Amino acid sequence: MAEDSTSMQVEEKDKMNEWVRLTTPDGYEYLIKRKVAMCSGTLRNSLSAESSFSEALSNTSHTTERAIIVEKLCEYLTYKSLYESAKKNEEIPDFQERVYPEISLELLVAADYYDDWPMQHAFQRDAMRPNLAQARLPAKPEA
Amino acid sequence: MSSDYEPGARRLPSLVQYCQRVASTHANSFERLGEGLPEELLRPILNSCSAETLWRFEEEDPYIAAYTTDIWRNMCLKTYPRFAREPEESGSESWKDEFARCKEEDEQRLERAAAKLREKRQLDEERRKETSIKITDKLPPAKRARWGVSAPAKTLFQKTRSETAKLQKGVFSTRMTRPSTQRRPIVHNYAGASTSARPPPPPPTSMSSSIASGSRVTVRAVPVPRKPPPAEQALSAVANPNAGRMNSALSPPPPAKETNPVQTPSSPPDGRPPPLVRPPPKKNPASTLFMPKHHAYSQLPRGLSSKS
Repeated sequence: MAEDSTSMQVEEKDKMNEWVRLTTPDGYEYLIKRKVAMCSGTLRNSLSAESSFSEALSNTSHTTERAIIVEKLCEYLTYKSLYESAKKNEEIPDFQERVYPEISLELLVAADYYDDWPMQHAFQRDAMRPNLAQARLPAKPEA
Repeated sequence: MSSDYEPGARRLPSLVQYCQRVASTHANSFERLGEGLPEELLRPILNSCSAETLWRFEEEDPYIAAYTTDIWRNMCLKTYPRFAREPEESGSESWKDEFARCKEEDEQRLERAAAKLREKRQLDEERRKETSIKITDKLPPAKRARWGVSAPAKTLFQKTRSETAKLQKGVFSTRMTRPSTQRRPIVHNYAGASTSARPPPPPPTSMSSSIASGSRVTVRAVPVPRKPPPAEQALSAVANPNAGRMNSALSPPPPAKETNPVQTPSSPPDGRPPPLVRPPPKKNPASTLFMPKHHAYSQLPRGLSSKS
């Protein structure tokens, strides 16, 4: 059991280091780490769902946004995953300057969509992981 | 992106919040908002745009109007605190209309005030113009054109006095160059006639008065025998009807019009002719000016060489 759990954790970690692909209708593709993608509630859903059905080929989420918007989205997700766990007094760069006024309205709509996921407490999110892990991993032989 | 509630974790603003901030800052640069934007997302942007921008947004995407009532209300009360009234009171259909009404009212008041100010300024300008210096090449009307009105001088002494007085102040008493320079009387002293008292050189004013009188009085040259032998004193046209030229006989004067048969020191046939020599041909802009008396270095044309 213990082995299982550690191996599960290790696998999960590996999983988290995998690259995830976001495609756009205008022909661009963006690769981000899975753990970064998980910062978005919607992406988390879509990637998990897809992965559960077609894991090997999956890790891809087909977005309906323009490439610029997806790019900014990825930028924000990276920023968030990086500084989310920073301590209070640490200085972090401001993201506001990176939001260009020309795209602000579109990005506003996109951000609202991809951040649909209601706010969850940590324990709830963690609770989801075992489910995800189970869904992904092939059935383990009974130990 | 939703913020974390993990203990110790940083609470980052969500991307939605960032976008709202940036869009609100540049709200007036947007041409239109586009469709499908949920109200809650738009609210901060609509709150931070100007009335003009909001109007534009509503025109381009009318669906926005559904949730802008409050915004228009705030706009009204903020921009036109004195004019704004509840739409039911003032008859507007909505707060948006109320805003338009207030704006019109404001403009009208401004226009009225501006018009009043303009009028006042114009009046002031006109008043100033009247008293300002104008350039002209005409002489101002003679201030003392009525010099001839003085009481007729019967005696020689009186005549002398009045004439010298005129001379002293004489610039404005005539509107022409001194007649004396043109037609100084040639007093021929023929034999024997010199004993009579000669009248002094005719004053410059006599021309004007003689002309004036000439217009009124019929002129007939009548040789009048006098006690002293009639001297052919070709008196010039400057016969003064009132002057007691007692001893001057008249030969037919060269300009027949202008001399009188001065027979006796008689008073003029009728009352003093009107003093004005001739009315000014046209309105002289300088006529409104105040012309001072002759000054030491005045450049006004004067007959006399003396300047004082």
